Amino acid sequence: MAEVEYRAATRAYPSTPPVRAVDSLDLEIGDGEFLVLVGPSGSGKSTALRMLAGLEDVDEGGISIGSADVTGTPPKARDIAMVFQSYALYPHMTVGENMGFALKLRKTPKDVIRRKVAEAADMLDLREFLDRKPRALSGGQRQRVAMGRAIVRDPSVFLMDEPLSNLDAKLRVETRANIAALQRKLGTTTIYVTHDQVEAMTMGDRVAVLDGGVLQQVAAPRELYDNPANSFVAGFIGSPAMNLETVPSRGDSVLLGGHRVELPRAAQAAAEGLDEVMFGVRPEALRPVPAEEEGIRMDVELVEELGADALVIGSVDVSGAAKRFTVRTDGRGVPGAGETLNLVLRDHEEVHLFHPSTGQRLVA
Amino acid sequence: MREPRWFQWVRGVGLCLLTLFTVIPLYVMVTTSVKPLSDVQDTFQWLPSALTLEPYVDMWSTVRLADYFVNSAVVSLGAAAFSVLIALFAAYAISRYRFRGRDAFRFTVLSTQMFPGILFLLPLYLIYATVGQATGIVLQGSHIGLIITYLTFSLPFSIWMLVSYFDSIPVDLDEAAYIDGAGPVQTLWRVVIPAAKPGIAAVSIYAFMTAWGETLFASIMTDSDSTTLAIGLRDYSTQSTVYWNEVMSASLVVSIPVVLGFLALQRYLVQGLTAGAVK
Ligand SMILES: Nc1ncnc2c1ncn2[C@@H]1O[C@H](COP(=O)(O)OP(=O)(O)O)[C@@H](O)[C@H]1O
Ligand SMILES: [Mg+2]
Repeated sequence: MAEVEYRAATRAYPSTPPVRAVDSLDLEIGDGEFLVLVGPSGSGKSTALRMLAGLEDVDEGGISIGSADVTGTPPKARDIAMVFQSYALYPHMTVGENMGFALKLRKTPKDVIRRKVAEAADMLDLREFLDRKPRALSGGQRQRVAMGRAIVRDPSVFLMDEPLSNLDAKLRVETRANIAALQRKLGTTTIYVTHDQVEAMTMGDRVAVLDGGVLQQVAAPRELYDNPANSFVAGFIGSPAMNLETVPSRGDSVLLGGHRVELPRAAQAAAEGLDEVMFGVRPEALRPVPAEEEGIRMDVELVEELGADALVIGSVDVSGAAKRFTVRTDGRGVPGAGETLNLVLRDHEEVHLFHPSTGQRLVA
Repeated sequence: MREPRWFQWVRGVGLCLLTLFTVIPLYVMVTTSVKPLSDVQDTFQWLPSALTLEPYVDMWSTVRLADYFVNSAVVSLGAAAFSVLIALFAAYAISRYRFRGRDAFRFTVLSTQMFPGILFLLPLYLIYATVGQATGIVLQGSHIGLIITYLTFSLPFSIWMLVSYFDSIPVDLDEAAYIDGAGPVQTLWRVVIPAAKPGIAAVSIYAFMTAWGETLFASIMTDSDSTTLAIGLRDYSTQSTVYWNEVMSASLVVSIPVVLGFLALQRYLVQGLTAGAVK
């Protein structure tokens, strides 16, 4: 049974016309699951999370936690804990008091509070800081206190709103792994909001992609990467982003960089009757071939060496306009800027086709 | 860039004059308070002919200074306490909730500051008299009447000051408290108020001082049982003599609570004034 369920849940901020920050969200999150809500800034991630927390009204539809409908329930009765982007630590309380505050409000006996706070502090390496005020902590330590405050409660759901966005890059990667490991260990259902698709892909059991308040797709990271449901997801997930252009189509092939790229058999049926399709190919699905072999012509503009491999960025002719393409190649023997490459598909099947106007995926 | 010499001179002289201007009254006050009565009855003398602490002893018996002290303390502490209490709730509501009439209320509160106090003297007196006739509650001349009077002075500013202070406290803190299981009152009490201590300290001092030094309303709204210090100091001038030395010693002693209050709360005050400067 789902631990958390959004049923056509909508938040419309009153204005003319109302802003549907979250629009008919249908989403089920399983018990113990780590679900990541990802999307660009302003896509409604925080609003969706705050609706679940009870901090934001649900204007249409409903939300349940466990078997209880919590649509109109105040936050304190929802048995959830939340980690805020700003951490929102109580400035006048010590680390220990911050972590024990929720238990204290519930009149938990003092020795129990002390024990639970100590356990959480050990888990998060905060033992020696328990008597400090938040202002005397580093950013990483504050972040851990915010985590600790959530853990101590032993809630049925963790909510996290971009908890890593105030950390520097190195600490972010480290903390990312720690949070994921901690969640597996505790087994608490978790909903994690981020705008960073790398975080989403590395942390989530499943990832829900939001855009403009509308759920685009929810799937396991691999599935999202391999089978994006529409052109938005295709362009958003993956780094560097998928090469995605609307190209002229002849049904069995498309014209790209002066080269006819043959479409997979399944796609041919779907593309029939369209004289244009949105054609997507990931940077690693392309391969440069020697000049005498035929391929998609690309004029190299820039090479980014990443060590093991390199990103070759250049322009490709699409219906007369120069479009930017990225190719991932072996780190050795990369071409220089100004050269021309011929590109072919590594695997004939590894293309993504979307409807030119609706953006929906054309083949399953 | 070096300043020209004449500018340094002008500045030096200007600052000296300014310093004298503030120091001389203080000097007169302190020296007069240790002069024997004979020194202060005729022409003014810069130096005491003899030093004595008698004014500090006699001032308590010449007039009922102790009673006035108690009256002032009751009225000022009462006004400050109610001011802070009411302003806390009002400011929290304005800062955190969006309700109908919120902006109108804010503006009304502010606009009361634009009128000189004397405009309210007569209406307030009439209201007190009417209330007294109708209910038997005596407001003129009583502590409670004076407390209410001073509340009307200090509340608007206190509310404004606390609203801006609360606005500088992130709403995330309130929300974290809600999620931790606190209701609105617990959130205000255990999270927002502790975080707003500097602002609350500033408001308390302001409300206290407004009441402590007020003379206009005190001179009309008190009777012989409720006379406050600021009014009571006049009693040192009798038909025959003005006990200037005792006036000065009493004035010094009267300032002590305000100075002490300031010292006790100054670290909050400085924080309060710089609130929001650093995120
Ligand atoms: N209080 C509000 N009033 C009106 N619109 C709001 C309010 N809060 C958020 N929005 C709008 O709702 C949309 C989603 O916001 P949010 O959930 O914060 O996005 P995200 O967290 O994905 O960046 C945005 O377009 C934002 O402008
Ligand atoms: Mg957000």
